[in-house]
Amino acid sequence: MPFTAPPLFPGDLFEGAARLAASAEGRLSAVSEAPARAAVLDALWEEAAALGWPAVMVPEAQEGAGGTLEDLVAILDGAGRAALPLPLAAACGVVPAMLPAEAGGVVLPFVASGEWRVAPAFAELMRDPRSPAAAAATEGGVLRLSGSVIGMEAPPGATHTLLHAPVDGASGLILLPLDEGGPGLRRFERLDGRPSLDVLLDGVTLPGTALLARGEAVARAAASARALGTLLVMVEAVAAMGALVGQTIEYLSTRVQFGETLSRFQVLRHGTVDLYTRHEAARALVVSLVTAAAETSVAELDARTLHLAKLHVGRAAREVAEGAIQLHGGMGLTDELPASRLTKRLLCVEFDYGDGAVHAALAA
Amino acid sequence: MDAAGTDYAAFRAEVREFCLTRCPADIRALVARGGKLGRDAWSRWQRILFDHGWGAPNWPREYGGTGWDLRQRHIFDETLAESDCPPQYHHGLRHLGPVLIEYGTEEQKRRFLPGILDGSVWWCQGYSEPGAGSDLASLKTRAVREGDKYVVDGQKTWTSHAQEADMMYTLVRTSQEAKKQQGITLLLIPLDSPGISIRPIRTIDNWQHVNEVFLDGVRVPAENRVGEEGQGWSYGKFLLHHERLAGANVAPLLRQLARTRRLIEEGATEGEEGRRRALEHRLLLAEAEITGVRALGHAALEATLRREPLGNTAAVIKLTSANLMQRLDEIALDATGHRLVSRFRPVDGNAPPEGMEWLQNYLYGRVRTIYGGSDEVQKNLLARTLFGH
Ligand SMILES: Cc1cc2nc3c(=O)[nH]c(=O)nc-3n(C[C@H](O)[C@H](O)[C@H](O)COP(=O)(O)OP(=O)(O)OC[C@H]3O[C@@H](n4cnc5c(N)ncnc54)[C@H](O)[C@@H]3O)c2cc1C
Repeated sequence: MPFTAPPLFPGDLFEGAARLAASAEGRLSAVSEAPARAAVLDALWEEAAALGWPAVMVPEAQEGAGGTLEDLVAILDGAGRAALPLPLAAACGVVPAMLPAEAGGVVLPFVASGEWRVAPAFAELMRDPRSPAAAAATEGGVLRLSGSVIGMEAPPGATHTLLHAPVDGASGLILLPLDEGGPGLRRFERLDGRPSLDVLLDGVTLPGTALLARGEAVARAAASARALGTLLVMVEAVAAMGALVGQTIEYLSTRVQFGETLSRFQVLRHGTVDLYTRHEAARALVVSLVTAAAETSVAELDARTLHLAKLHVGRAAREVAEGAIQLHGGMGLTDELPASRLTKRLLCVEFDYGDGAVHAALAA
Repeated sequence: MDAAGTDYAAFRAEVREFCLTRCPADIRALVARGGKLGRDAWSRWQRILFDHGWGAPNWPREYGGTGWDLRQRHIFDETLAESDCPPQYHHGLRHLGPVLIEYGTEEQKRRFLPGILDGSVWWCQGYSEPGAGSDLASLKTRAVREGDKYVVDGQKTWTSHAQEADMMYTLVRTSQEAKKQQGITLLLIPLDSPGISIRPIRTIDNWQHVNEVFLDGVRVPAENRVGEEGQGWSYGKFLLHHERLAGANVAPLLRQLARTRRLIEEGATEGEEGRRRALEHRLLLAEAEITGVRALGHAALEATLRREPLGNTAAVIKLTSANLMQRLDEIALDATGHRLVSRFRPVDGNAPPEGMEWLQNYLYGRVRTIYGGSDEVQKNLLARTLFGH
């Protein structure tokens, strides 16, 4: 490969993730029907769990590995270079971050062991603006849910949702089992191939114990979990952008038209450089944020800086995706190149953890 | 009213009335929501136009054309778009038809034109190959003459509609010696011929519409050759000339502008004033730019009516409108993406979320700057005319 971005944090975690993502590439391209793809994704999740990824960010006190932000970033960087379609940032990073200290024990040991596959949900983000968002009310000893969660990234065969939603008007954290007789579920694949769910909550009731915590501590944890999600999406974006620059160079260096490799045409060289410069700036931005967060904590990152960063990286990811499609010509539109998985992943970046409009409003 | 006595306003009203009353509601609904048109909808619509005598506005009268002047044809195309009626399926009517009329034998015209006119025979275009995209003249699919047949071996790719077509008009190489452009011949190949296999290509928009077509010893009667052997390239050029004005119709852009404005107004972004204002501003900028292409299109039409040469105008319109359409697609993406990208492919037989066509059209629409002469190739051509080399 003529251009390869160096790993953000080299080491076994990066290598292991890159290996699994590369193997997923071949296994997924061999199947196209939804059930067959779901089976492959399920197997991939089991391999990810066997590698201990869901435990990385779980504190040792809760039977996790007690790893650092850099550990998780290394995994996402490796996996992101082949757009491994698993919700790693959500399930391995955001879930532990949503739980205030005292509530962790109920959930995290099961996450760490791989027994539970938990999808994080934020009522305020994962909603269709035209229908009611998820909410809950306590009534006697039970919790009555309403509204719906839309397009929630979820591990294959998700067993639970950890839902941040208003409960009697205050921030609440609800553990919602996704088994038979629970909420209505609609299954989808996202544009980037990751599994996702709509969770229909009208008429669902849960025992009072499902409300893990409520109030200020929950709101604070949710805000920092969202900040972490935002940061991790940007990490994945940088990984995908770098890989796509490399693959575009490789494609243009082998494709021949008019008796020349396309890499000889100046306009295409410049087009590729445009993608590269987008990648370089986004990468520097993300490295600075990860470094700052590692020194203090994600919760202490300057909020406005983070919103501006997401605005930047969301646009950059889209420009790199659109540019790479154009440079590949018709091949850019097929689902049959590794590059296509990267472009589809990059087109999701703008929308994950709040789109440009959301972050612009918060930064203004 | 013009010198020839044509009342264009009355003509426009007549076409509009026809569109609104005769185009089936399900087809108009499909067009209105930006759905993918296939043979079923398109051929039903073509049959309705045909029954009314409007099957082929761009053909001479003797072959079933309408005898309309250029301005009327333009009004017709515009009104179809404004009324959410499908544009006419182009492969037979606009691409192959004019070539057959100009270069085909009488027997070929009798055999092929009626099926195009009434929409009963479906055509696709087999030009591109894995190694021949922008550089189409490097195509390698070979046809060797054996008695009264050509034996064809090779592969086509990106063949839109091949999965539902009956016939493929195909560029093949009949001579290895001649200069690249010269040894190329135009053959009409029935897709049910032995030796043809069709494989769908999966595309990022999750629609099935392009294919690979493999030709393995396919025997094609020599009477299916159009014009002279080795002259296929010049028929392609003829077509290019014939079709130059197709891009002058900016009605699809205006239609898309109106649809996107409605999308934003109808509360897809309710409760989020900031997003809505930003989108409306971008839409206004796009609208302002559309006024420019519209003026160009108008000028091109007038110039053609005066029989003046068009120069670069057609290429400028193609470049500009392709990019503007992509900008509109992107505005719609930003209005809807937050509820669509996360629910792209339903699993378990769910219905796709309402409005998924916005996302699919955004993805598919990336092709506008790639096919029909990519942006880069168009700019190369324009630069050559400007610099003189
Ligand atoms: C959805 C879809 C439908 C299609 N339908 C049909 C169909 O029905 N029938 C058919 O025959 N074909 C069809 N095509 C093929 C289409 O015409 C080709 O994709 C197009 O000609 C571009 O060729 P390519 O894809 O091989 O790209 P390439 O030619 O490989 O181009 C790759 C990139 O290089 C650039 N480039 C190429 N040459 C130069 C140059 N000299 N200078 C600078 N830049 C250059 C291009 O602009 C592009 O950005 C379709 C394609 C798509 C994607």
